[in-house]
Amino acid sequence: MTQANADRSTVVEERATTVPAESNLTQSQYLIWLGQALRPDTPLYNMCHTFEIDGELDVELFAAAFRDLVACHDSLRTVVREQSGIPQAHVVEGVPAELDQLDLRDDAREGRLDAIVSKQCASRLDLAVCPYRSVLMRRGRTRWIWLLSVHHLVSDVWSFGLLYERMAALYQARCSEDSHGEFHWPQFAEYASAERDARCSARHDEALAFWREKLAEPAAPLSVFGERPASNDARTERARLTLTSQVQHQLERFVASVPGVLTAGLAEFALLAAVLAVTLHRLGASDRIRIGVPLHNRSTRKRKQTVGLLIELSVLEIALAPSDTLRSLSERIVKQFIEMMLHTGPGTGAATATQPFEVVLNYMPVVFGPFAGRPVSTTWLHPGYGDPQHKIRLQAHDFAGSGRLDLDFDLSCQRFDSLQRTRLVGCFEHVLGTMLDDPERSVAELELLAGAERHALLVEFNERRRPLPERATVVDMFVEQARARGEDIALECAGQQMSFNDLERESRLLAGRLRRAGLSRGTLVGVCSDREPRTIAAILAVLRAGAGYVPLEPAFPRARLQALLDDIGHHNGGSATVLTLSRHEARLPRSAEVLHLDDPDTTREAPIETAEIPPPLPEDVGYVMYTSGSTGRPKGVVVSHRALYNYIRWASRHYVRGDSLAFPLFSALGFDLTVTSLFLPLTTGNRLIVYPQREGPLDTALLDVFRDNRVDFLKLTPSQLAVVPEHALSTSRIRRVVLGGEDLPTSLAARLARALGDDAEVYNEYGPTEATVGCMVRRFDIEHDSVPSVPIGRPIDNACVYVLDRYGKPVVPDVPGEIFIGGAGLADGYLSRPEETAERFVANPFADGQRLYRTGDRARFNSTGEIEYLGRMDEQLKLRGVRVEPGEIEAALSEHPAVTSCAVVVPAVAAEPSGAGMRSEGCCQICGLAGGYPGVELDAEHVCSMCRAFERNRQRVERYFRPEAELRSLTRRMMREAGDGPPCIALYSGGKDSTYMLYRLVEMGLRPLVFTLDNGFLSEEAKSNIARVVADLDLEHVAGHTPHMNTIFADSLTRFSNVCNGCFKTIYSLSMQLAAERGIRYIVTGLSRGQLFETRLIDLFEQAEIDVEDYDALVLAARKTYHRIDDAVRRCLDTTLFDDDRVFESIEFVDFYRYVDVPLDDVYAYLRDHAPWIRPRDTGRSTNCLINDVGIYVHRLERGFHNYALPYSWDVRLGHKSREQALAELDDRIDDDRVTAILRQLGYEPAAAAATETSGAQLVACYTARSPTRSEDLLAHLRARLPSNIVPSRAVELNEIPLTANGKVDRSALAARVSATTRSSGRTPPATETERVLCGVWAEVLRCGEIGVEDDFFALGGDSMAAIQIVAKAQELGLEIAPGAIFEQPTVRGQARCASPSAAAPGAATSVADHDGEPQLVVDVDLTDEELAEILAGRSEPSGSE
Amino acid sequence: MSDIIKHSIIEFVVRELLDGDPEPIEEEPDLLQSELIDSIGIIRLIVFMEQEFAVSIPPEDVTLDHFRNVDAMTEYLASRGAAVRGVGEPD
Repeated sequence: MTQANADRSTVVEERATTVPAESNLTQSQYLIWLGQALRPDTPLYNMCHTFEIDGELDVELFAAAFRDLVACHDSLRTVVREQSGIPQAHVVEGVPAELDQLDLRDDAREGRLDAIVSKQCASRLDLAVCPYRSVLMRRGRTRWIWLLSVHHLVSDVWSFGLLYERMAALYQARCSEDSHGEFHWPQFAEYASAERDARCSARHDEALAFWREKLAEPAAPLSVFGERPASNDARTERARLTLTSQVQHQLERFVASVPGVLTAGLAEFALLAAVLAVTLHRLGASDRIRIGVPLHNRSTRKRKQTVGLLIELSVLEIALAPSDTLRSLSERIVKQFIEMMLHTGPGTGAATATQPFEVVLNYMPVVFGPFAGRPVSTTWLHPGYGDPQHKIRLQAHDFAGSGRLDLDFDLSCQRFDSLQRTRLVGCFEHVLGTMLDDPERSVAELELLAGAERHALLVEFNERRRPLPERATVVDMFVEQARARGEDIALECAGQQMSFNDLERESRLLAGRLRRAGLSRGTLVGVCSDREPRTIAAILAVLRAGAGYVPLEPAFPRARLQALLDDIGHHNGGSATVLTLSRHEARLPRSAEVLHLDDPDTTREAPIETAEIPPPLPEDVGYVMYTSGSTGRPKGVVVSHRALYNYIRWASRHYVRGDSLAFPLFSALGFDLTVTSLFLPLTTGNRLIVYPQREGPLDTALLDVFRDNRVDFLKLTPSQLAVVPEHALSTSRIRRVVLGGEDLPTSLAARLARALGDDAEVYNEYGPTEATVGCMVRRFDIEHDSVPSVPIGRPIDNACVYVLDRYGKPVVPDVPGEIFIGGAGLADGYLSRPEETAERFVANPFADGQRLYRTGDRARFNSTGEIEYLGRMDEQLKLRGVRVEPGEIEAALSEHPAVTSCAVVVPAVAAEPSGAGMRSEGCCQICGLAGGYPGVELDAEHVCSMCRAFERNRQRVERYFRPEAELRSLTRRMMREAGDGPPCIALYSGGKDSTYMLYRLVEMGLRPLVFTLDNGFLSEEAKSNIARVVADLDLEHVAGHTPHMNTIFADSLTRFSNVCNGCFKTIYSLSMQLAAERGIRYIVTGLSRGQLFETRLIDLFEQAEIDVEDYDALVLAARKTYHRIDDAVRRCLDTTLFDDDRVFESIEFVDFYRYVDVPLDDVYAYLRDHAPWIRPRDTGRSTNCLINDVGIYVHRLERGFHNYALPYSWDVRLGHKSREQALAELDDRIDDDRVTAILRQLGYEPAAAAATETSGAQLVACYTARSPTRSEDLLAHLRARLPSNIVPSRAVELNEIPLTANGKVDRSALAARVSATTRSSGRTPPATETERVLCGVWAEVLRCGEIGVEDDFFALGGDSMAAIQIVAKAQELGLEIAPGAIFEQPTVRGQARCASPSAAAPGAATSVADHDGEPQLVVDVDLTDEELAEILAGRSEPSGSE
Repeated sequence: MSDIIKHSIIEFVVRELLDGDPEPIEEEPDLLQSELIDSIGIIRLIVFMEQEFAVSIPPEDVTLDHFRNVDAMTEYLASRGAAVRGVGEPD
């Protein structure tokens, strides 16, 4: 971001966070109000303590004292009401809520008290009604628990101390019959008015200017344990660290030693801030840690006596240097703290809120003493949520006055998993202890890992030792195989074959020729040839002669060939020898000494015996392969025979294992990945089938490999794999596949594994050329691999791998670091590049005398102790497995006379939709629901929160389900009431569940009228099922239809990202009309139990007891609302029927599966035996509807998970399906083309663009030019200088190259800009009524002219204030949008999708003033009926699986 | 001169930090330890001193030695070349 931009955005943000002049809230109150308004139902700001009092208490007097407490403090009587987005505080007369009382003496139930307390703590405090909740619970004769929960908007920790003290004093006064009138404490109103004045002062303006400058540069994202996408998730969990007395003692000693500090508290704070900053930094954060610091802001006696929110948030930015110590940091932080305080005063929080911080350190010097002489133990409760901006809150206190600090860490559950949360606290403790042990130890010297954990990562991880023979090379291995295999086929190419004997002989003769040409051990020979048997023999010959081979592509630009041959000549001390074919000679520089492989003379002359050629030694160079160099010059990696042998020996043990396998040679010989395919067969006596290159820009030999289908082993890059068609894989005989060269996406590996079948082995191999082909490997596990990329696993034989941080220390698991490789596979270095060699090959700090190669690859240890690859540390790119240094291309680009500046990037591509609900690992062990499913968390045992809740409430929930006998008596009633007409309508989709239902109903003697909706997408097989079944049962059948079905589907996709909701509603509407017309009183549905849970019962099991009768009434109420929602169904169909409430009472819905409990397998078995029903095969899954896939596709794309994941999980929980059945059913193959065609037909465009395969990634050269330059000319310029595989596909001229604050090329901004230039720009007009309304609201609030539905809220200057206004205005116009949705869906289109019709119609807009009466404070763990109805109404739209 | 500084400090502390409660702050050897003033009070004092005595007080000078008691503050301010408005410099 440029300075000007940063300033502008700061000012915009400041406006957004500044309390509006019309509001009477203080600045701090306003910030809290904003945060709460964005999430009205989340207890983000509940401050809640319990005080366990031991002693006699008089309940009446306690209640009276509490009344006095409220009367004495205007803060407790403050309510906040909002009008058009402007909040106003009002102090109400009287006491807004009494003390609630609860007698728990007789309630011995385990955990009952805890449940009540946590429920109270997390209960919403409605600021419009009453800002607190106060409950006195009696546990025993003399044991009491007083719970006080106060909204942060009217209190702070300091206030809590005052309230507690004063409650005790007032109670004492009541007991001694004193009047409480003697107590006069300062009121918050006085402060609020002073704060308002302060905000108008010059000093305030100065403070704001100070912070604006101080915070101009945005903080780096908090990359503790790696980076995560930003999230608004507010769930947090608290972990407590209580200091040991030894640490406490050390801490006090250190604090006393900080020179000149004003107070011990200040030194203690500085120490904690220092330790926190160092811990976070060493866990992956940058070296600039921004920490939010609440200051109590009570400078006068009177302020110290004031209850209310007085704190101001300030910011401390701690810059860490490697040489910093606890002492240097603490002293510096003390000074910074003083400076920070000097610029913090009433109202300054607006400025510090502009650049939000993710870390908060709260030092709370408050002590809760005895209560009116009675011993008290106090607990600070955590409501489970916190401000979503704050991912880490460290709160230091000693509430009990024990003389020992308690450190409460509130850590974001979204940001950190439970293991990481534990680690973070553990590391803090370790750093605290270590730094206190030695306050002079520097940040760089600090070890975060110790003991067994350190040993595991450094030693145990690298224990694959397998001694190397003193003299052994791949040449020996080959010669030995040649001797053993003799006339067996070694090579095959285009119908020609070559035996091991032939190959041995030819390579021996050529080796002799090379020796005579003066090439000997240690020299290099270029091999510039095609992929064909002669070339293989040539490579073997070079090796047998004792020289190293240097593969050269004939297609390389001349300039590059020249540069490489110069390198070889330089090394050999003269000219370079090249083995080539006569057709390529013209490409080679004249200076090269050329030997023609296609000239019979080359090998015919004067053969010499093998014995005369001494074989190479392990230390001799085997080959040199070139990789991209950042300076513009490619670097030759020198690989010794020892390194090559080590890899090949390991690979033959690991991949070949003595089996007889055929290998293909289809990739470039200059690519070190090809070493595996080339040497493995030759050294294991197996056959190598050579596939010559294909003419044209793309070498498609890989496709020949599949067409030919004669090999068993394949090594290739993931990008290569991605282009192989599905059918080629599924019909292939290949059993072992090794993927290497770049990041392996799990989805790609899974596709491969599925296509090849169960017994195929898929390996992910990792290793830079500098560590010889591969140094780590992992076998892909389709069952358990769930992270987006397949891990790279563990080291191979004799390799050691470390992940180190910038200080060269091993990183804590999950923290990204750099991969360092050591061991036998290490290359010797770069050819003739001592400086670059010294830079990348460094001394191994963990093993004397050994070297490490620093890869520049980012990685981390995962929880299973394997390494996961995370990308590059630097700017190096990988394109189709080939290493690309942008610098190399940029250097070539800069040589063009017109180019003034340039940068090469890979444009941003859309991410693949997440697989929540699809993959096995990361899914609940019981039900298979994915951990990523909204609102669902997996615990340590990998069981989801829904299963856990179900376990707890199973019995109660199951009461909702009724015995079959009840259904029988119900059917008798239906028949009695019906007389001659049909007794009921049965909704029949033709699927398994409803077919089963139909047969069973008939069995019970019922003759229902069968109703089917023909939605236009029923599959042919489903239709014939329906016809057969209805005929078989001889029932009357009505097929409903509407010409508006496509409109309804499109609307359903817009609202719910699925098609089922719209379809279901149509079924309900039409069947109710039919029932009304025919005078039928019952409609029987075939919703499965999973669907019943999804649509009706989900909240029942989470909440306490509800009477089943009440529940049915609530469902009925919800149904009325459901049919009156203004959607496509209501607009397209005649729904006047639903205007009259009575229709819902006169037509009753009966859910068949509420009474009938039957597992899936039994359903299938029954149908097989009783019905002419055939499972449809033409829909590709267990469905009967062709549009189903469209819903699944869109839902996955837009919401990121499968819409059947939830109902299926219920089927599993209820024992109707196995977890595997559910997961298998969720694993859909969707025909994209068919889906796209249907979507086009519906006129619906999914929100996210379809995922782009990585293989589609392209390089783009961006440049600025001094004179107009055609991009084609630039590309031609590059083609003359670079190998074709790294020539960018496009060149884009820009006015300027965007730079980061540090003046470096901002590659991510550039990548985004480049991808943006490819997208069409322009305004997309609103398509639906909701979008039209929202566009109007946006235009008004954001003061813009026309708004397009794809326009970005933030790009148009949107901020928190604007968000609130949009919500308020939309509500006035009858649209309900959750405030948080504005940020999550920053476009009109997205928001329209989230919007639902307001509960309150226009005119009746809920005014907070309506709540003025008695507030409802229910001291009960149950939900109120209203709350329940709200939930039901919001979730009563079903989605189905039939 | 010193007396004027001292007097101003005492007056400010009593008026602004102690809300007019007369406390024996002049005799108190350690204002911070006795909790008559806390660090935020010192910050208010610094702002006052900078305006009142036309000095600038850098954060690194805000140490216990300089702010322990009224005498220490007076001495420190004198060492910073404090000027009292309308006093000191002749016209």
